[in-house]
Amino acid sequence: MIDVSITHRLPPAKGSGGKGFKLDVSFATEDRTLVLFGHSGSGKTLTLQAIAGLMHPRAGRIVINGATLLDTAAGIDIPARNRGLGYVFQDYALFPHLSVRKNVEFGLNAGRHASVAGNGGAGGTAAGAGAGVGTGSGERNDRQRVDELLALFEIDHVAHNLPGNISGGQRQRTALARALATNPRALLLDEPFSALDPLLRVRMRKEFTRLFAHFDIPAIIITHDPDDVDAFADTLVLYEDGRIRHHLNFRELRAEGRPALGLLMTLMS
Amino acid sequence: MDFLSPLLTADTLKISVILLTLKVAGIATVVSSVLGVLTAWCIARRPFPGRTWVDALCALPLVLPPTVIGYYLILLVGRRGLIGPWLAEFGINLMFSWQGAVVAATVVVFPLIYKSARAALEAVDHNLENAARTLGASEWKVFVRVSLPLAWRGILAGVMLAFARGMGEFGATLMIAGNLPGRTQTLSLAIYSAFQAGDDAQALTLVIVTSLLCMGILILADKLATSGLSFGRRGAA
Repeated sequence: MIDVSITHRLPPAKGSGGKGFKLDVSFATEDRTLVLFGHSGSGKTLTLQAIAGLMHPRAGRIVINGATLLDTAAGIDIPARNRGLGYVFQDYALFPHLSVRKNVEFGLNAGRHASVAGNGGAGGTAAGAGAGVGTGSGERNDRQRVDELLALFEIDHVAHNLPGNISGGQRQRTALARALATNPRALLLDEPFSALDPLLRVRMRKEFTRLFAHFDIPAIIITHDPDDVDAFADTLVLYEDGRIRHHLNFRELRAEGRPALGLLMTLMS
Repeated sequence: MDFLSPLLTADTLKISVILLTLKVAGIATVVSSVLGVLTAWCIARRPFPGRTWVDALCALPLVLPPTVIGYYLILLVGRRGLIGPWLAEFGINLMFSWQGAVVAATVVVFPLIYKSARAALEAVDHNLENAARTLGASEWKVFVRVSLPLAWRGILAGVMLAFARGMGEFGATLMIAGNLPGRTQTLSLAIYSAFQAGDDAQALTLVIVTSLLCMGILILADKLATSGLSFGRRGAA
């Protein structure tokens, strides 16, 4: 369950003479994947940062899977490190000085995984990994969990490479594996496929669809690519200039197999 | 080349002066590195009221005449200074001691490290630090595991400059530690004394030694910055 309602105001850029930016959005869904769609600069990334705790809105309330992460009226503002959310950045933000393996391990030494264990996300039919991905704590479990993630994401053969020395697709898989390693309560993805070339984009979309189902984890995806809407949206929220233009259940529309492009062009024109 | 013959003798080389200079500059650089990097981290993190003033204060020794810094230090740690009597109770006397020279050099080189550390830390991609936060890292862990390793080269450049500058420190050292041969006389002070006494062979020897040491430091700095020794490449292991 995702329930977000925030308002924020950014001051105008110095010397621009503009009037700044106002964000005032509210959406809620019980669906597993929520897609925020809109043009660049419409406030999507700001919203995602607020959910992750990287930006602190003036007022609002953010509840993910029953956990209240922000409630300005009640004085609650959980720091980013304790929110238990997996954030996949647009440029992946992989640590350039750490190997692929160390990147994936990074969140495990922070002592958080124990508190969010049992999220239910990690078992099941681990394609390519054989066994389920453990949710326990302890160093041995961490090692094993990282091994399994590296295998599942097919990056085990580049585990000792630096992010600068692997392909774009491998980089993206590393970013997702790193976010999932801490067993988060939800995933936040910022334009996850925009940095890939078109063919790889199609392939990674299919992979992500499979992985989301495998981990059964709620995801909020922001995008300006209609193909992402087709691939992922259960709930679709259309952003425009810091506000929500439309909020719709896309699952049924998607089931009809109609591409979102036509609908988006009609709604956003 | 006749004039060089009396130069490189044990008498003119003054090994003890060189060792004292390296000791004073070395300790001052280490202390300033810790203080400078931590200060830069605190100040670079987020704006706070009066940040511009604190920043200016940290950079002040860079532009103040060393004699002014020396004078301030005497007001602070002198026998009748602000904390001098308090230090004396613990048996610490910084006036006319090599420890005093360390304090002088520490203050003088601090801005070099602070400035380069702040620039290097602010140049680190904030997304990387935010990524570490979303992965559960505390602010200290973000600093140690992400910001510091990525800013390492920039900081190292400042540290090397600071060491070279510390070796040449003259004014503030003279004010607080004096120019006592065998106790507080560092290279630049020894050169001045030798020149004043008309001992040109001595002065020229020490001038050459100082120049060579500083060249060595600059070359070492360049080597360190481009070699695998820096944190930036460690992940490849």
